[in-house]
Amino acid sequence: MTDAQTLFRQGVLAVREKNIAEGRKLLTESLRLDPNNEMGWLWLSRTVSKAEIKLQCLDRTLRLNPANEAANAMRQQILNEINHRDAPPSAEVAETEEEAAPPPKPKRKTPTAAQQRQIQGWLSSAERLVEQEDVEGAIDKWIRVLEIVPDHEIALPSAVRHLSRQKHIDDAHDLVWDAIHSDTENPAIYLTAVDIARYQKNEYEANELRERLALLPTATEDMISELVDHYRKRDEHHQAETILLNGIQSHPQSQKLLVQIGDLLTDWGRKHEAQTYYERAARLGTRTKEGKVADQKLLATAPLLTDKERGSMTLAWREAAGVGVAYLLLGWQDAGLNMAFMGVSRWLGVLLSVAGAYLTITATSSPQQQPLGRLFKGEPPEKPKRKHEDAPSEAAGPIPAASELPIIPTHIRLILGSVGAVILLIAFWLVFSQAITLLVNPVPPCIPTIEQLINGEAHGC
Amino acid sequence: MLSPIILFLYFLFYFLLNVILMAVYTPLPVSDTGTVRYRTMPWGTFALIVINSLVFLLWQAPEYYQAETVADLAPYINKLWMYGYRETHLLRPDSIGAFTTFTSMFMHGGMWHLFGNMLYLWTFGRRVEDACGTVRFLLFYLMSGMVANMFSGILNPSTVDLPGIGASGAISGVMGAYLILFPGAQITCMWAPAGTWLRMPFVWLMKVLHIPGFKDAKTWKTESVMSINPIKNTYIYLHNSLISLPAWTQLLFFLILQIAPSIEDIQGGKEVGGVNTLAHLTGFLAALMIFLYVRKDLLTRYFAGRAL
Repeated sequence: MTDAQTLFRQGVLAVREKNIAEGRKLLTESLRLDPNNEMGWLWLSRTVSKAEIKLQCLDRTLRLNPANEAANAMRQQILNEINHRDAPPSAEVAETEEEAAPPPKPKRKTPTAAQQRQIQGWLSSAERLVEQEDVEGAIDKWIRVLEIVPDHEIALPSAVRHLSRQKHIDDAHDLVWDAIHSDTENPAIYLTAVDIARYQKNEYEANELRERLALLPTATEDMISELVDHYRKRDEHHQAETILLNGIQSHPQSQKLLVQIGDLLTDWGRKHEAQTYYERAARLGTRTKEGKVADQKLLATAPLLTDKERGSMTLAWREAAGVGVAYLLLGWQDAGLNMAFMGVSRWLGVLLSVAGAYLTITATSSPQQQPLGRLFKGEPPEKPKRKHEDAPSEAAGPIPAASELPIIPTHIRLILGSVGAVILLIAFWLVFSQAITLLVNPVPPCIPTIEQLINGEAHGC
Repeated sequence: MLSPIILFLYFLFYFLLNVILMAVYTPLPVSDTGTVRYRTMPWGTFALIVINSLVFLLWQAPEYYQAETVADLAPYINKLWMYGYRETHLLRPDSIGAFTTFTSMFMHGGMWHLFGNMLYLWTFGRRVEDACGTVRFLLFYLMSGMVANMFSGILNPSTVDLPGIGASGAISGVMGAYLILFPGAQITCMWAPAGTWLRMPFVWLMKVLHIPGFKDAKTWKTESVMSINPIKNTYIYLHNSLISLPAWTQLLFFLILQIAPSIEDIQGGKEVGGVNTLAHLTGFLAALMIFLYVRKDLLTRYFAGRAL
């Protein structure tokens, strides 16, 4: 299920990045693993060119969820297009790879000085006309401004507001879409477009706009959060997830969004994936409120072992040093608690213990150290699977997140582990030689009598 | 030379301090209430408790408890002398040498000695094991025990050659590691009824001033109302057999309680048997090496200031 979801997300991202062929391939593979993913069929419909195949995909979506508004809207749109072949293709539905490219947009031009003067004049005129209650005349002036600057921050809201009041919603819609097509990054324009689409009961278009809004670099975290809340209230988890993924793409450092997607996935029962987002948020710092929240949420579950820790040679040597310390203490005691009497063999034993421990650790707990993994021509491990996918309480150790680091091949690890174990035994014999000799040649100890003990003469024995 | 009066005052002060600390701050830890992040089954802790218990109950206790005369204690004493830790006998041929560092760690001097040690191991061991993993935890446990054995011998100039036994040095290491890793964790403790009166003013102040960290255990049902909060005019519970306390309070007090007797041992050398506080202290300090034994990601998380 997780694999299918991962492929689904990768497919969606590929489609968004206009890599339609790759998106189609990933989505098809995802649906092969999980044919009950309604959103998968919906997205697949956007990657195919033929209207009939598109309809088949949408029918699969609607079979899984007859209430899917987006699928219904798209289906209706395609049916209309089939009925009116002469009609221009929908801007929202990508037909082919070529058609999937963004529609030709008017190039953004910086108005010349003369145009700017003209704009100022039209804006002043529009203001006067509004005062004289000649709204039609004012709208005409604003539209002239918008022909030069389609997303003008005064002309557009003024024109849209007055057009809406006069119930010319279609005209307002066109103005807003002209601004959107001009690559505007003003999130207020997208929000206005969403309102218009909702007024026109075009939920499909509204959803598309929300997704595009989430991708804007100017869209704030709060805006994206509000969009997500909108979908979560309506139990549209897939849409909420899409918005959040888009938002994270444009705000990769946003702890708020990372925590929010973690919460969403937790509610959805995808706890392991949620943890990756909590971990990501926490790694950005725990001084912020969201960072603390993310870290605390991780406390309720198991943490993630990342490639940074897996691949670290220093951390593996640190563990080996822990074994070395224990061997040093053994050797020190074996020398009668006098370090000066440890001798070469015991020191050699201590050094060997570190080397042996390192080999054993490499074979067991740190087999992905770099560059060893690459040196031994290892492959990245297969994605680990848990017996109980969402029951970390029943499993031991950190959650095995997907890793790209090559792992040392098993046969090499077996050899390293065996050599390490042998070295550790030899090192033990070297550091503990005196104690071993005493153990194999036992001599009864001198035990003080009870009277000696009572009289405090134990040392006399 | 100190005058008898000063000596008496010193004794009186020390005695009273001990009584107050013991009565007010000797809640008996019974469980760690914190989150176990890795959800590791604490096999290492279980195994240590089982081995320690079996060694005492099956190997030591029969000879100790069934002895009717002092002479009957001879086999028991033989074992102590053979397998207890004596720093002067590490090289002598009539011993098993440094192997006693291991054997002594699994021997105990009585039922209460065993019970107390195992209770502390149970309380603090599980979470430290979770932070280390079973193998590294066992290695750390043995390392702490060795440090306690070694340094309590090295630092104590006593000439009396009494063998040291008990897991307390190693367990002190585990407690020290707990203090380093999880100082703010809550420990559920049982508080002796005798301490109720002594702690009443402290608890009352904490309640009134809303000092965080001192919570009543939710699990205990038989609470008795001992006073009325004069500010809120509501009942407050001063007597609770179970109470949650921050780990640092208990562990630091444990550490403080070891310091004075340990200094006394280092200065004069302990001439009689009893509690080896120097082993507790040195074992506790061995916990500074816990960073060699904790899990990889926990180490990076610790130094990034993140929750463990």
